[in-house]
Amino acid sequence: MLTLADAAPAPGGEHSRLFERIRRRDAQAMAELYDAYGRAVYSLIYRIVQDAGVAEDLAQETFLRVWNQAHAFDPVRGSAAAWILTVARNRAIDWKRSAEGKAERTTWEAWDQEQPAQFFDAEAQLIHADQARRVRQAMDKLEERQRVLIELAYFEGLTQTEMAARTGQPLGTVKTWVRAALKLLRAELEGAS
Amino acid sequence: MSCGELRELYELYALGTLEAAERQELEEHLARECPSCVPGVRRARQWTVGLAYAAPAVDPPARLRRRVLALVKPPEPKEGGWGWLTHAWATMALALLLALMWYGYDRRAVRAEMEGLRARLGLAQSATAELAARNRFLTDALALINLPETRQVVFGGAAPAPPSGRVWVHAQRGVLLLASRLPRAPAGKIYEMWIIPKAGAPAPAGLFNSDERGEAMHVWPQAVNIAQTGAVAVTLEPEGGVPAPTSTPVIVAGF
Repeated sequence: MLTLADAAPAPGGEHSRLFERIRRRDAQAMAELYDAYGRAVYSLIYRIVQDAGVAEDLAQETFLRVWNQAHAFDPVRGSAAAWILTVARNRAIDWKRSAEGKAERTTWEAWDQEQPAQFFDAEAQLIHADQARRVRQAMDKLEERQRVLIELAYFEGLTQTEMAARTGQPLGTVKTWVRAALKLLRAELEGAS
Repeated sequence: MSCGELRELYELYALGTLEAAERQELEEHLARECPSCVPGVRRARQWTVGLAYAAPAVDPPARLRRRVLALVKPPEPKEGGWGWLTHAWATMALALLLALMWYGYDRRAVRAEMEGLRARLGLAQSATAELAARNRFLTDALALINLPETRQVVFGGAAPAPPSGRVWVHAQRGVLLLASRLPRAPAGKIYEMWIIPKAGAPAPAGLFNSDERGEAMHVWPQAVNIAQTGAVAVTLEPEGGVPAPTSTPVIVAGF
């Protein structure tokens, strides 16, 4: 299956110059940023909201936020990919929770999770295609029930209590499966990121 | 909970899916710069972002690129342009275009105009979403001010006309700073807020700028150990911020 791994742009110091230009309000730099991350952002949001029109609107919001917050992001110290994808995920999950009538996370929580400073020291090669394929391979190593729970956490933002309600499994069982899944993924990905 | 027990929760915290009680426990460790939990959460944040790549790749529609770029390019009003349109005007214009289509207006020209309208409508929708987010932000800021545990500190006010204002601090909600008479940062510079502990180095608490009227509002929504905090300060720093202050503070709000 074609995954985001196939859409991952190459890493490089050019992102430093790109963000420097965005901070100077260079619209052409924004076009280049979109060309690098547009597909990844749209794919992630579409996976979460499952609606092409909504995904388009939320992807647009994501890039608007990046444009407005670029002054606070230092690409030398942080990973642009990590920041942009986190902003995209937060937009999509908040929309999904709102559409399902669930309480949205407070602005403080979402704001905290996507502050550019949170991504300082993140490895710049995160976006690299090899790394992205490694993520996919690690997910494939999970048992089906573990993979389902990790996807509920990542793509739907569910807590373990919500996962238990969704899957009909006891909370203790969900916690055991999640713990085992995260342990495997951590072992596979932590050293690689 | 011990750091060993919290270790299992780092990833769920990074994903924003931790239950409230557990999140509070972990944030208490983070607020006191726990040497196990702080790097642990940072590592979890780094690798869990990669889970995005489990999503199947989907090509976005070509118009998304135009919509994004329409947001960042200043509107270029042309004769009969659409830059001044509000939602209502856009709807009327859409009806007019449909009528033109009905009467045989060149279909390609109509399609081009429709694309332009769609881009403008997208711009208006995004502006609305930004306003809604701003509204939620202000609501949360007001909530922080109104919480009974929130501490308030007044700064400035001395001659001749230095920045003045107030800082509100809540142990869990963070810091809210409102300042006036704060000149806009010159090109290449930005204001950086610092949490200054009673002992130890200042911790960076976000970047901001003031508006044309010299007024600024800045929040740092992270837990603060109030008992160990001596002051909140603001310095003028190079754009992009610095890990430690390099200039004399323009604002000091002592506790």
